[in-house]
Amino acid sequence: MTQRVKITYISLLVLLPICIIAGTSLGAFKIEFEQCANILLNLFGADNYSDFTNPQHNVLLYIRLPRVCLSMMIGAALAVSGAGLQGLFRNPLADPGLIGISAGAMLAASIAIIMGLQFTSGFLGYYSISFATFLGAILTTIIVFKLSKSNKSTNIATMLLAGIAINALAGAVTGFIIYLSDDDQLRDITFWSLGSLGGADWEKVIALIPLIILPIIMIARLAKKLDVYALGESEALCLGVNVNSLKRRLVVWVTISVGACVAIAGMIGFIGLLIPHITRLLVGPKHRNLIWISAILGALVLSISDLLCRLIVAPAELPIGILTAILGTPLFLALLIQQKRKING
Amino acid sequence: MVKTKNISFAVGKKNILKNVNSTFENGKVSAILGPNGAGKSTLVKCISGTITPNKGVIELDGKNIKNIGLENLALKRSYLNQQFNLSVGYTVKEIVSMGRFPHYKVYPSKKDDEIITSAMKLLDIISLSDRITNTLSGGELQRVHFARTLAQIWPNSKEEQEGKILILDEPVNNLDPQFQHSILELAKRFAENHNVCVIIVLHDLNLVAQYSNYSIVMRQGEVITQGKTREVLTEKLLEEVYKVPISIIKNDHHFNIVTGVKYNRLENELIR
Repeated sequence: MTQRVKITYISLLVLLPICIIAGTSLGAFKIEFEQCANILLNLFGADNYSDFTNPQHNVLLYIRLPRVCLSMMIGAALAVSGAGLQGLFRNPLADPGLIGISAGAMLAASIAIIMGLQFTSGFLGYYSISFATFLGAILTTIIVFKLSKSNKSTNIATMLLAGIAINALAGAVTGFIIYLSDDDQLRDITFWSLGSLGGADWEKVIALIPLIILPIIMIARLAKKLDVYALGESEALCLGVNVNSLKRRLVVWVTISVGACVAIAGMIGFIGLLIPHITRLLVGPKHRNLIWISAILGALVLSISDLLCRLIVAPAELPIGILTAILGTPLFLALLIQQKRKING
Repeated sequence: MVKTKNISFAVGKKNILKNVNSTFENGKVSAILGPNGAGKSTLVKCISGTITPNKGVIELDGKNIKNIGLENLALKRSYLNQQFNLSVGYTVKEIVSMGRFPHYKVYPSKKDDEIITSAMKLLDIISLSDRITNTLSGGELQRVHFARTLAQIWPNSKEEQEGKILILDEPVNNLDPQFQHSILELAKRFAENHNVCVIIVLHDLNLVAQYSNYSIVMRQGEVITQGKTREVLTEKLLEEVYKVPISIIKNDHHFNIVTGVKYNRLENELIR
């Protein structure tokens, strides 16, 4: 591990707890840092630290902490998926949207909203949009993956084109559904598409853990193979990489994790595209570092973005998709310009 | 030893290889030559296992390569493609290290590191070690990938005679004459010293004449002739295949081929 990589790891790991503390103590409802510490210490059995009010205790433990956890997990999952897909497409501009995950999720969510599934009673009613979205994401990716298969092998260029086609089709159908929807439904669909971590609770965090942690670990295990894959498909094959299995495994894990993220938080753009890109500039293209550092950086960036969403228009909240795009676009353009300068000398 | 038995390969209705039978021996350099579109690259792709022929069998030391797993094959055979993808952002050393990928699990061993350094020294790219590959010239990149290819089948000891396979598809493109000769010399040394079976696709007939023991001449997907280079390559055959005047100058020590001119032995002059 080079010095640069070590420094990056250490500084990001130092920033992580700072972000958690900031995320839990800042917000419309005031909780001082000291009280924040007291609540946490109290939670772990230190009974003499009780200088806080009950609402503060509840807001911190049942609203903010799960929200910070959720934002960090989703940020990490989106960034790692982006890093994996950029490796698979051998293109730094790839992101999970490219293989139809987001468009499928959007379509499924729109259908669920217009059918009023969220108003059906019981457990299924409450989570209906999430379930529909997750299914939508997985179904579209399966279609894209099947379309790109020929002679038992998966053609990446075809996958890209199939992804674009399915994106367009799903977009058109979503448009038609929006046309059919009434004002309330339209509002729901629009807000869903802008993404939000507002509904965070521990149940969602726990439900997401296996759907996010497992894919991150599995994608990280493909790191060495993704490096060799960067040489080209036939080179990777000659170096003993089962290229088709690599593609299949990567797409499966990316779909599960991104599908789960979209199901819980709606559409959050730019993290999957930008974070791996920035990480590559920080520590180079080797996937072992790229994937883990993207995970930490993604967690940091999304939790900070979510904090800003809560602070900027407090006590209201900005949809997080807006913020990641507003912050992401200029940053991305700056990176492009910097890269162009580097190449031109 | 590599043998292709009756292999055919077609894309749609176009037959690119038609019943190719060929043998490539260990410890020898075998050149595949022929005009553009003769199927040379397709043949080496089949042998390397990156594409599967529609018909026929490829045997490696008597075993069908289909039955040797990808990972085991990668320990024995390395292949240098004609074109390289730009692996954006990777350094020269990282690219060469990838040649050792089949040999280690998580991190390269000390031995792997030694091999990577030796391969880079051999190709004179040590000074480029930390350069990003997309800033290299075509010739430098060619040497980097050649080093990676050598690192993959690097002998475990000085005496190793395992008979690995080195497949090179036009390895001297982009290179100046100095490196053309040094790369082919290296390939020849691997063959002679470590019993490696070297298979090279080459366009430069003079290099074929100087470095290869065996030649396989192809045209339109078929093997026209194969055998010892000195015996097989005749002016008549080459002129028929390439449709240009060709002169062969040979004695006991030298064997050279000049294209585009005819050498008049009586007058000792070149005629165009």
